[in-house]
Formats: sequence, C-alpha cells, structure tokens
Amino acid sequence: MDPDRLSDLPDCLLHHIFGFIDFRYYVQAGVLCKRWKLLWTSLQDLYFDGSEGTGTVFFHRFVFEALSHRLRNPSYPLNKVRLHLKCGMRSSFLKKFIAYLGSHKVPWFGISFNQNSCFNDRDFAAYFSRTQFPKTVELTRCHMVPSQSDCQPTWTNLYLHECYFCPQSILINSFQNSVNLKELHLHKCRFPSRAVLDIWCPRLVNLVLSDLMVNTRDAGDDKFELKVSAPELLSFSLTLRRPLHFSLLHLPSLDNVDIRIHSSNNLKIFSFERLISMFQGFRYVQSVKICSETIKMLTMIPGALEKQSCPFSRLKSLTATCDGSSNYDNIPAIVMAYFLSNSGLLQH
Amino acid sequence: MASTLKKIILKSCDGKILEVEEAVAVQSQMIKNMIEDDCANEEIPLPDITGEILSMIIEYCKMHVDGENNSNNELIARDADFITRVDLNTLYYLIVAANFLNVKSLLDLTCQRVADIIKGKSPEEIRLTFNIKNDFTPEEEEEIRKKNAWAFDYKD
Repeated sequence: MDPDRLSDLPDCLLHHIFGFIDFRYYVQAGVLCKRWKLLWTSLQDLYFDGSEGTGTVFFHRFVFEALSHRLRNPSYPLNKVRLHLKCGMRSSFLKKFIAYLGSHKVPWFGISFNQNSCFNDRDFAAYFSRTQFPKTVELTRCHMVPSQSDCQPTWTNLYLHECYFCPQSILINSFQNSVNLKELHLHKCRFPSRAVLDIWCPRLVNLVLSDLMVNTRDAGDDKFELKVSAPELLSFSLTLRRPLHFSLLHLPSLDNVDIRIHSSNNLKIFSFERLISMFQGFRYVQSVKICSETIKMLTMIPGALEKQSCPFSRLKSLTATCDGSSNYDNIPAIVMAYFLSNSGLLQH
Repeated sequence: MASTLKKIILKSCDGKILEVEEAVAVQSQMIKNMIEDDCANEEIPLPDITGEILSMIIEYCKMHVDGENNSNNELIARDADFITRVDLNTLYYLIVAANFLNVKSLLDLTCQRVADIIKGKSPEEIRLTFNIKNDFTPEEEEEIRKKNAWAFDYKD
C-alpha cells in the first residue's frame, strides 16, 4: 500500500490545494486524522463554490458560518475570499456577503459567475460603496452597466475577466472614481462597437489589457474607442487580436510597454494607421517589448514606415519577442530606425 | 539583443545531469533568480528532486515555451493531457518539486489535480483514496463531526 504522502505535504501546499475547491471540503477534512483537524482554521485564501452540488439554503448558511468561524482565529487573518456563483442567485445574499467581508476588513474579494450575464443587478457595484474594504476586487463574467460607481475610490487593484460591458450611452465611465487605483487588468472583456472606454486613473501604475473583444460584424466597421489618461502609469501590457483605436493616450511617466498585437491580413492600411497613432501616445516610453506579429504589421505596406518620424524621445531599449515558429532575432533595419532614431543607440 | 541558446546544467539528487535551454529553465523562478544573480554558470544541484521528476518538469516547461503562442485552449488541453498521465505518487513529488523550483503554473496544475480528486468525496472516501490513517478514537471523531456539523450537508 502506498504511504500517505498527502498528509506529509507542508501546510502551505495543502492550503494551496484546498484553495481550488469549496471551503467545506477543508472543514470536513478535519475528521480525517489529527494532522488535519485544525488545518482549515489557518487557511487565509478562502474559496466558496456555490455552483456545485449543494442546495442554495445550505450554501448561504455555510458561507456565513464558515466566515464567522474563520474570523475567530485572529492569528491568521483572511487575505482573500472568492465566491463562485451559479445563475439565479439572490442579490440579497451578495449584498450581505460584501457588507460582511467589508466590515471585517478582508482586503481581497473575488466574485465570479458560472455563466455570462446571468446576474445583472444594476446596483451591483453600489453594494461595495459603504466600506473601506476590500482594496482588491476581482470580478469574473459580470454584466456591467457602466456607471461612475463601478470602481470605488477605495480600491487599489481591479481585475475584470470576461465581463460584458453594456452601456446605456456611448461612454463607458466605469473608472471615473478610481482615484486610488494602482493596477487595472481587463481580460477578455466584451464591449459594444460604438463605445468609448474612458480609463481615467490618476494613480494607476500598471495597466494590462488583454484579448478585449468588440462586438462588430467586421473589423473595418469597428468604431470602438479607448481613452487612457494615467499620468503615473509605468507599465502597460497590451495583448490584442487586432489594433484598436486609441483616441487619447496621456502617459507622461510611462516606463515600459509590452505589445502583442496580432495582424489582420485584410486591413493593412487601417491596422498600420492605428498602430502608428498608438505609438505616438507611447512617445515617453523608455523600454519597448514588441512581438514579431506586430513588427510584421509595421512593415506590411512597402515604404509606409519610412515616411513616419520616430515619436520616441526617451527610448532606451527595444526587444522583439518571438512567438510560434517565426524567430525574430533580427529586427528589420527600418523598424529599428522608426523606434530608435532619436535614442542615439543606432550607431552601435 | 536576443540571447543565444545558452544551456543551464541541472543535477538531480540521484546524480542525473540534464542540460536545459535557458528559455526553458527560466520557467522556474528559482533558476531565473540564480541566472540573474549570475549563480547559474556551473551545474545546479537539486537535492530533493530525482532525475525522473526533473525530466517531467523539464518536459512540462518545454511544452509551455514551445506553446507560448498557441491558443489558450490548446495549452489547457496539453496541460490536461500531461497531468492525467501522472499517478498519485508521482503527483506529490511533482508538487514538492514545482514548489521548490517555483514553477507557478505547474504548481497550480498539480494542486488543482489533487483538488479535483478530492472534490465530491466524503471524508471516508478521501481516506481511502489517499491512504490516510484515522488516528482518532470514535468518540473524538464524533466530537469533531458535531462541532463542524455546519460544514456537512447531510441531505446530499
């Protein structure tokens, strides 16, 4: 018979394992043997999975019982509490949950739904408005009807995954009150074609936009606009399936950008112009990482890049990242000139 | 600019020597830190990792470097294929090694796998699956069950 190696793992690894499943399994595991009896009382990142098996009444009661039991062990304060919910949940439960965690100063909340748009309480964001906590918020598959109160002024980190923005007007002003936000990630979020996403964040340091999706029949008809005004932004990472239209980029402190924008073969001029206008907005950047696909897009139209003057005044380093089969050890001279002709690096 | 194909030499606890491309080796945050501190020019001894486990970890890291630009779904499918080939005993060694080498995605993958095995099981079934020996007296166990009754949904 194999020995029991699971119980031999250190507490931190058992905690990591039990962070992936509903917290009740860890509490239940208290009866396994002495080694396991109190493990759950020191878990600091709790996960509640309401999409699985148990009845709603049991689940709601369990969540609050578990939180109150855990909070009785002050040597291990709660760090992160994530809640995964199925469709048809009551907003009163969510409201109570958020207020409870806020009053106990839990710094990190995560809320996810198992299906897109299955919860579209318009006042959802307002549930957060009365407390100083959380500081970090992670929302997955939430239906956002953008309003100024989406991002609370107390938040420092906001991660949105697969959220669907459904604005009542053109302007998406979700980040208008984000005066203390330092980190913002938008991953696989979906926007309507005629919308303006306004990211105005005076304290933002790190911005990650990845795989944003715009609802449009064809890419050429895409009227989606992005405005980013972030005077303290240092780091900007951008992973997109095609170039987007940045109508405003105010990034005077920008230190580094990491660009992975994939090409669209049929819209060469359109893509090229969008890239060039985006790079003008990055003019203060010191270090650029760019993927070979984006480099290809810059050189797709013969003679076009030569006509552009180098927008960068402080660039110190340019790195090409190769992806897939295409190896990019050699950046084309014309691309080097576009990026580096103001830098004094080209003579080397 | 782009670095040439530098090799990192790793030595397992049973004396197996493995040469790994730098791009693959830096999937391990620990090795990455060593390279940055210029401590990776000679072979790196890994006291608690056997050659067999080390080869598996390198296979995993290679898969992630080569697949960097594949679609996310493809990588998830490959991860699933990798992890379902691993038996429980090997899984523990992989967890400990992934933690030591600090390969975050592998640590998550292996721990998630154990979590998936636990999910849906009662404590008795968990004891059986992992050979956990119950060292409570029946009275002691009953007392804990009573105390933690709020975590048991007796209806299911």
